[in-house]
Amino acid sequence: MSYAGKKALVVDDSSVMRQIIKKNLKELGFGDIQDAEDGAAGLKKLGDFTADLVVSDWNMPKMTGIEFLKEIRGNDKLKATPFLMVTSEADKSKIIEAVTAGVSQYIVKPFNANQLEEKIKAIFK
Amino acid sequence: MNSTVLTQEEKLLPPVVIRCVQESVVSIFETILGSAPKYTGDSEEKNIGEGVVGIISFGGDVSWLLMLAIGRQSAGQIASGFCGFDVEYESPDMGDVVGELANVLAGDIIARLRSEGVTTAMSLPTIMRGQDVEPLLPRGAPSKKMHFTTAQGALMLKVAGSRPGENVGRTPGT
Repeated sequence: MSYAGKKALVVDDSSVMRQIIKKNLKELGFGDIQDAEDGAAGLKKLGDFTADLVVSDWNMPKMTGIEFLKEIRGNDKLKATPFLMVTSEADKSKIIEAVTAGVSQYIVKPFNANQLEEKIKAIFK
Repeated sequence: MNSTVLTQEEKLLPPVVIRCVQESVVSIFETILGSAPKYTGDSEEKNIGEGVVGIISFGGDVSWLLMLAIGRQSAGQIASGFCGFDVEYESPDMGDVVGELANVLAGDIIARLRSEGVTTAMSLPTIMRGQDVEPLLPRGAPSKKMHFTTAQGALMLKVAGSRPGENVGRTPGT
């Protein structure tokens, strides 16, 4: 599957995690990849950046990933944006909470490039 | 939790927490680095020297704190194993890497504890850097240091429990 020309927004309070995810997305062929350090900054960025995919961490200060997801799903302009949640917690209750809020896919850290690609493939199939 | 009678110290820092930490360290670092770390003992006197530490607090059924410490000698190789690119020891990104590793460990530990019937929530990581850095703990708080070796160098984990009404470290959820 080609992701050439697709645009992504990576949201994580960890600069290193943003770099890792951006590197993986770039290797998959994503064109324009922007980033933000928390949900609030991500939401602001989506005001003038139309992302084909949002990849967001769950645990972040200011606005968490789940709050960010709920904001996106509640916004008429953004609600159809595919959303991949990244988290260190594999707890079933967390997954249910994310699915209920409308997450497209969910990936647990640590993950490798192939695992991330599988999740993105599942979103764009 | 099972019905084994625990000492006062074990009530504050239950053996199941220590076991889940050890299992998580082996499992997570094996996934990241490609080979399992080896547990080399729990000496309280041994330190990592100059290094970076990531600290996460847990609340819920048990209030406790986890500290992951990685020495300067190991940090570069462990960081590049996790990131897939080089990270300079002196760069702010190194703190980010250790914080993220602590975060990943904490998430796995929470899942393991839940499967043992212990429900906990975690804080965001706090990062410190320096010579033999350790968090200040309340007087008498039970703690344990655990040492591991990996092909990339040494790791140290410290866990500490707290008495009811006392907090160790950052409030979970923040």
